[in-house]
Amino acid sequence: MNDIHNLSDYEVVRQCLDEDKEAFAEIVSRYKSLVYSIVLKMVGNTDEANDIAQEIFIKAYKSLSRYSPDYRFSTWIMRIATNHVIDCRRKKRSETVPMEDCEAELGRTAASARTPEQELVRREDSQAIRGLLCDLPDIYKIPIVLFHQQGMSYQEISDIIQEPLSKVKNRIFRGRRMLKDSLIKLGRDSGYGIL
Amino acid sequence: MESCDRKNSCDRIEGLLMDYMDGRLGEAQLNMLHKHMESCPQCREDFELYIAIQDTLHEDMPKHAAPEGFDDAVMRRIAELPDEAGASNAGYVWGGAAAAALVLAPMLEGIPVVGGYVERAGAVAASIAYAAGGTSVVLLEMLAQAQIVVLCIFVCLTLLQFAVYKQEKAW
Repeated sequence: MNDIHNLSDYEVVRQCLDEDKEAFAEIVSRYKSLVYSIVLKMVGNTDEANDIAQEIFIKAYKSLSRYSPDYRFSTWIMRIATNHVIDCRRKKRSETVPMEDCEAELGRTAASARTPEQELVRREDSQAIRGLLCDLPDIYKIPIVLFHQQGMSYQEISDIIQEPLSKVKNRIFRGRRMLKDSLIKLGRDSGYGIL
Repeated sequence: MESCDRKNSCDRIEGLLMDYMDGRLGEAQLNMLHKHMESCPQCREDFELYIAIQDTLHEDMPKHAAPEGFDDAVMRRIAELPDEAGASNAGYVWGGAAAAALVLAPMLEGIPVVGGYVERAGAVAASIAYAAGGTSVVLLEMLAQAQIVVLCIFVCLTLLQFAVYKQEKAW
């Protein structure tokens, strides 16, 4: 008998499609950290990330018959994840999560919410950057998180977001520039230099 | 003119900075970047900001572990799903049947007769689709679109019947 841990992703998927619901636990076990980390970086709130990540796996389970082994399973599930996060955030836009919450949930302090003296401290710059990343529009944030924080290549990101390479490159370029410009503006507004 | 050249040159340097962050900058380009920054404080500052951004993003690179009990929670929710909503190829068969019913039913019932038949055909298709329930979002979207088509056919036939009625009355 085949040990499920030794099966390829596609073989596990086939097993799920053969009415073996329990086989999906193997998929969850393999990809939960990847999906959860991405969602957490996108929403910045652990409870919400937990709910959304669960929904992503349920969505993936329901769509398993549409999985094609032409793509890596990680690419396929990340595509579902990023689309689902965008949908959820779009629905929640009216009740936007304040930036401070976003950072606090990641275990950091919001530079902009603290005293100017604290913002002066060089170490706080990275906290400011995290805050600005939280505020970046999803179309820029997703490729940046996938590239810089998940170590994915442009090609993998292109497969996930289903956009041409040139667009991926452009969005990462613009996203970084927006972060840099916001950082300069933050320094100017607070009256202190950044870096 | 000089400032324009300067701007073009700085724009080019920003492209190099991006390549640098992507880790694909050749030695010659790296030298060009450093040389430019020696004489351009603005680009030097941008470079430092970009590096700070990159370092911060990379600091957060380790994966966050999913919360305890995550697997069980997902599998519990999956166990609660109706069988037909699960990961099975059967859903496609039923979904296909629903779509086929939507297209074929009005034809089988006889298009010229306006009224209850088309509605009944729609209802039959809808119940088949309901039986396929939740198998696939795509199929449900197809169903919704197909129902719009049925509704349009219904409206057209009603108008046609009305026109025929008026014509007969005129004769």
